[in-house]
Amino acid sequence: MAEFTRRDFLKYALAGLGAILAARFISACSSPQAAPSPPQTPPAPGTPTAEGTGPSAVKYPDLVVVRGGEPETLARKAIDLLGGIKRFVKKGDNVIIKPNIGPAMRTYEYAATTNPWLVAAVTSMCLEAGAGRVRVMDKPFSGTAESGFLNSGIREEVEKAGGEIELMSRFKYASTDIPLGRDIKKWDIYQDILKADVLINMPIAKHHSASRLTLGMKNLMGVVNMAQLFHLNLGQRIADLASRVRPTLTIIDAIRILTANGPTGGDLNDVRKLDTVIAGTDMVAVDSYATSLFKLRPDDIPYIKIATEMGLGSSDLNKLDIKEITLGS
Amino acid sequence: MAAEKNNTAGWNARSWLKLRTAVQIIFFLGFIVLFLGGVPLLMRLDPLAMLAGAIAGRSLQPYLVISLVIIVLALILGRAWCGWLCPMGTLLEWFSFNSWRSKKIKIADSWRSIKYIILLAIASAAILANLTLLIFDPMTIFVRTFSTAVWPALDFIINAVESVMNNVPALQEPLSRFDTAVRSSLLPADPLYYRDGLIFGGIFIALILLNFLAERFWCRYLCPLGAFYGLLSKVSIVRRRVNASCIKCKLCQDVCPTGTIKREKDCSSDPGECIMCLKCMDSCPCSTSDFGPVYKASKLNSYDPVRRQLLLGLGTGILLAVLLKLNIFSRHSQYLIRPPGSTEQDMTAKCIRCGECIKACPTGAIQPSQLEAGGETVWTPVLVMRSGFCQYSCNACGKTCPTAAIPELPLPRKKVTVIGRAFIDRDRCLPWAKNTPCIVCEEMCPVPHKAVRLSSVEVTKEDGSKIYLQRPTVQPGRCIGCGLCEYKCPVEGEAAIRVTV
Repeated sequence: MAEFTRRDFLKYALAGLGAILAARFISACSSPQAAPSPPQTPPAPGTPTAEGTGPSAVKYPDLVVVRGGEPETLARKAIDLLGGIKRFVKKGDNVIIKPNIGPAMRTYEYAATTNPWLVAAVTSMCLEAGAGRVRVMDKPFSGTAESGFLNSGIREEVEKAGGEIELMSRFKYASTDIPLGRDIKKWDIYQDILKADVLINMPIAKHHSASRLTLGMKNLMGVVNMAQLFHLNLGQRIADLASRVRPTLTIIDAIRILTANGPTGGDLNDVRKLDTVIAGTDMVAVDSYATSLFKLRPDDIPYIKIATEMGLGSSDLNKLDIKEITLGS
Repeated sequence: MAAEKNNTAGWNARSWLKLRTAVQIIFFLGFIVLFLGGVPLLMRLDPLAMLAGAIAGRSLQPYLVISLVIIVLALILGRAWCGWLCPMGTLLEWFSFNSWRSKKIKIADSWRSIKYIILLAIASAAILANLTLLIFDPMTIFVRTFSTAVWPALDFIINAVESVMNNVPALQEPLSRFDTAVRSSLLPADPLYYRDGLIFGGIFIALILLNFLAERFWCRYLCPLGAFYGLLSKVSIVRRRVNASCIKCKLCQDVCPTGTIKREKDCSSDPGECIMCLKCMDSCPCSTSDFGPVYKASKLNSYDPVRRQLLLGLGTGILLAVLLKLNIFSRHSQYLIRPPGSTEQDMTAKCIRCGECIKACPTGAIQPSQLEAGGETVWTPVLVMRSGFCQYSCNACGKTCPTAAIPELPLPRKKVTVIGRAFIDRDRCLPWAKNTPCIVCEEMCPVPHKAVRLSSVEVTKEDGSKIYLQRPTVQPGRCIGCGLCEYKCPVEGEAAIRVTV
């Protein structure tokens, strides 16, 4: 090799400088703070769902409760009573279903994760309605998403039904404004959840020590980063998040409910089989009804109380149009 | 000249070199695949680590047959492993810096003794049930560095590139599919952090940079596995031969990557140093250098471990094994949490320090130990709950451990295996110390009846207002020490609930 000249030195120095600048650029782009704000604006205050603005004369029930039947039958009946899947899913829509697989280590019998056949049934219905893509995603708190989808049985059933499982990617979280938030005004939220044409929230109804019950609004904690920091003001922060993440439809799985030792469970004696599905477009209303399964009132659950105060939905069960049916009886 | 000769048709020296390059590439990629797959076979291909493990652990295992096969291969082909298969050797060859090296640097042949001394020290320490020196084994270096430094770095780079590309709308869809495809099979879903990753990466880079002093510096002077094969090569069958018509042109001496060909010794070489790369055969203008069967033991050289080196090596091992046993360092840290089912005894005498378990742990809880348990078990696996937690239904570390230092527990047993116990630091815990509601540890606790219990109390806050609080306490009989509570504790810095032995 020739000797090292001044020209060589300059060349290397410039290359090094370029590399440092490139590295800075990359690291700046990858930090969540620098991510661009979400392209879409938050929904208008007080609008419980995207639906309901049309001049349609047809009146659908606010809430449906279907009992007694196999998961798939329950799901189909519930959605039919709400006006059919076509009311929510249009041809080519980008659909995301958010089940609860928080405790990544449990199988469905323990009522710690959403029933896999129920999720699969909703996936099938969306595809039948012509959805372009149906993705099922959640980020468990107690293990890898991979193990969560495997153990809950959701991966197997959803893939059979033709849906996709998405392991939520780090780079898709971005700091997002929460204009209606009272405690949190900004949080890292998964961008695909906000961009989806249709978001179907599919929690399982179960016991939880701090919020007492984990239902629809609590289930949304799976779409943010650093969810454990919600606990510093749990009820308010869940309600704040519910003001920003607005599911098109909330379907509560009460086929099996977990009555104690939640949200993780692990003892079949804590599980009650109710074969019930509760569905509606108003997440607050659906959650409110679900409290009755545990002999509680909506006001007993801090986040339902706060969300009602914030005008995110209705928790007055007497004023809601509730359609309850029992199948096969 | 050499090229002209090799242009003749048919299988010639050049063809052998091409074959060797192909084998090197295939095996290097194969090692990466085994590494990613967490297959114990990777380390079981290393007879030095396996035999030392068997001696120290006082146990004969069926997988030692693989070591025997490799030893038989070495008795036939000498150090061919180094020149053809070893991932470390391949990497050192790819980064040989041949054209950058100063011709003036000359390293004395006596340095070659170092590798034998390390080898003998490993052997004598293993007899005393100590495996600390296996940190110098090239395969453990390779796997440990890839686990703690190379792969996390690669993950960081890929994630950074993904984040940038995700700003381009047209790329979002394919990017999402790519990410789903590679995580978490090849790359972790969440970023993993390893303490001392910088040190491991730095050591690895330093070993490569030593090539500036001499080609394959590591293989020549330091590698204990190379020394092991070197001893076998003294009696191996296929060896380099030089016939009498050699014109001493020195071309072979110039290309020899281990510098063992010496013109002053009639261009002969030491089979204990020869890695069978065949470059000499290719460079030879008169075809006097070739490889074939030789049926007598090779001569001993000044650097071979016969008298002083033998005693020095064995003595070093004994001394180290004994000195490290002494309680020089803090012998038992309260945070010394070992992988499920393994004991301190296993960590000293069975763990070969390869770091396969570090790679296998999906949450990044398993970290290389520092001096928590003394120098004897440095770089053995220890769980650091702030960087990860022991996933309730996971036994990946036991499955991947090549020497059963971490036993392979069936899942039902793993779920009840106690690795530590959590305790609450009431001076840091939000509901205890600050009257702030928080129940994260109880919520997270994965055991069926919750090892963390909450009790409700009414407290008066500093401003005089009264609130109801739930305060956590640990039920020691139920806690298995998985550390999910410590990992998720929202208190910044040191968690308010911690797992101790």
